[in-house]
Amino acid sequence: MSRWSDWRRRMKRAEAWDDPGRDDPGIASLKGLLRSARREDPEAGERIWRNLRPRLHALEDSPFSPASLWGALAAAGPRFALGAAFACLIAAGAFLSRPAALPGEGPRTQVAALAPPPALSEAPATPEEYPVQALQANSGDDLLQFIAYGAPPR
Amino acid sequence: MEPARVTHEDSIWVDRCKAGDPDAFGPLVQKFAGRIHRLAWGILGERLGDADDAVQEIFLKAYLALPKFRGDAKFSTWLYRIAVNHCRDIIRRSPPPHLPLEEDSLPAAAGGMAVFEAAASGEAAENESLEADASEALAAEKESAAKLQRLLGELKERHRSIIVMRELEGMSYEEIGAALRIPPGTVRSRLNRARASLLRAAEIMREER
Repeated sequence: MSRWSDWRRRMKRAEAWDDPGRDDPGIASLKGLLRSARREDPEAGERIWRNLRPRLHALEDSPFSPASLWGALAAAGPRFALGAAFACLIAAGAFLSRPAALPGEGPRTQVAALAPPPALSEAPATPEEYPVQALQANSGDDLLQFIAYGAPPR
Repeated sequence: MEPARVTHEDSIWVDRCKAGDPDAFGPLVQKFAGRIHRLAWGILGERLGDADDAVQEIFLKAYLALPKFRGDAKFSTWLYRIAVNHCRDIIRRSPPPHLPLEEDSLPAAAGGMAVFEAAASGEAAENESLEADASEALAAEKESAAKLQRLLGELKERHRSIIVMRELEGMSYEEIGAALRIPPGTVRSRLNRARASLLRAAEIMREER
């Protein structure tokens, strides 16, 4: 007999499991075995509870027990969720509104560009001296003076 | 739409446990420990080292998860689900030990053998013929338990669970479906395949003799 037909035969037998009219000795024997294992151990409840009770009390006494933590979380559920959402919003706002880079954190060239020009302690140079200094200067005022005094006559 | 909360007699104890009274869990343990013991015996078979430890862990898990129990289903159904998942975890963690099925190594949970043992130890001292009867009954019980355990051990875990829930626990298709989170139609077809596998295992065992 092929495996397939063998399997089909057994499935058909299994379908008759709940049919009281069918007399299958194999099923009857299995049902008898299962029936004999149905009885409970009447002492089990008392025995298990005797061992479990101290553990539960120890859990309840602990302030950080999973049960109490979960209970606290469940009790403060909506408020907790609202608070967490609000905190997230504040964090996101702070992140988005922060400056591109703080002066102390930026690269050296950027810091140099942002730094104010050094104050001139001496008297302004004569127009003849300007070409060289003005071309080396970073300040726009120096450059204007160079254009005003150093430009070739039209 | 949220399912309507079903009120059961166990919900009184459940509510008291949720309110922080661990002693209210006692009646629930005493009511269901025998059944959970039998379920674990049926599913775990030879892997069930210390049956009481396994059952204790199941109840501890249930107690810790009680705040999540909303009462949509019966407490027993919810507890069975935890028990089946715990048994599956044990099976995943440990390979089958392949212990020889000696009578003395069988767990005492095998269908009220403790009753027989108690009966045998109490009455046998008074009457020798009763002792003989009790020991014969005990031997027969142990033999049946060993045979059933060997047969169940031949099944896949999902087939074993469903056979145990239906045939040992007498649960309805709806209750099994709720405990295993499968529709009742799937319960029916899976149960049929499980029964067919059990019949095959019995045939093979008979041929081996």
